[in-house]
Amino acid sequence: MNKKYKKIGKKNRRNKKMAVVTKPKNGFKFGLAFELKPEKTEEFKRNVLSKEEVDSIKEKANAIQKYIKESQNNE
Amino acid sequence: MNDKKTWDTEPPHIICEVLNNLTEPRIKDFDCGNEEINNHIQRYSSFSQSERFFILVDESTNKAICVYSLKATAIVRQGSKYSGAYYDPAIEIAVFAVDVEYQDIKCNFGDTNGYLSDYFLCYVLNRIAHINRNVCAVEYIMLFSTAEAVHFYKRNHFQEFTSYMKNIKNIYSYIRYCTPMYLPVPNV
Repeated sequence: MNKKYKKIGKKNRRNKKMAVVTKPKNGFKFGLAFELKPEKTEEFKRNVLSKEEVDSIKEKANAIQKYIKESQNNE
Repeated sequence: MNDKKTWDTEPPHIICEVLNNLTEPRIKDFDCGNEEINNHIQRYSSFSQSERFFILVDESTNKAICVYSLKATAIVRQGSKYSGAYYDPAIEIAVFAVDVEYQDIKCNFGDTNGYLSDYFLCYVLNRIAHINRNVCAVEYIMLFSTAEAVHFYKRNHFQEFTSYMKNIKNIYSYIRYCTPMYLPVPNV
């Protein structure tokens, strides 16, 4: 086991809030909470998608949707 | 980045399936180029209770070309000292991975153009918007991006969550190799 992983593991046991976290290499994270800074809440809430951004997502989703069908096994 | 590949023709016909014991053989050769994510998909995809995996399968080859997983989460906001915390409902895209064979492919579908990965991501966003409209309220889409994928998510209108994140210093060792990002659920 590499040293870095061991170190994080110890830290993890000390602070139970840090739940399941994978090895800190390659940038793949899992299980961390998303907590907002109180002083940034208003600013965060003001960020919404513009009509152009929504349209761009909508157009691409509709274009690919034609070629994707849901498997009947999903039910 | 290899920008040479283009697809002006029709894309393959794709089936979206839940990843389970029956569909697991379709991810046998799946490789997104990130060893950590590949291992996670191969190890936990069919039995994980904390995330639900889906695969987009090329109907002609019966192989997965995109794997993604979703999990319920929340953005926690501190209320007053009497009201406690508030939770804004969110969905986390825990995994979004496209097979290396299908990465960086430029496409022209109908009047739109972009990378095939963008189309797959927009498909996932559309499914989350569907959940928001028909199943339960979802305000935000969250994810942790690998360093090399940040530009991909920004291209698809995600914004960095790092500057809004509480206790960033305490968790820095956990997120130094990745970037927390968010997107308000698009009303598509």
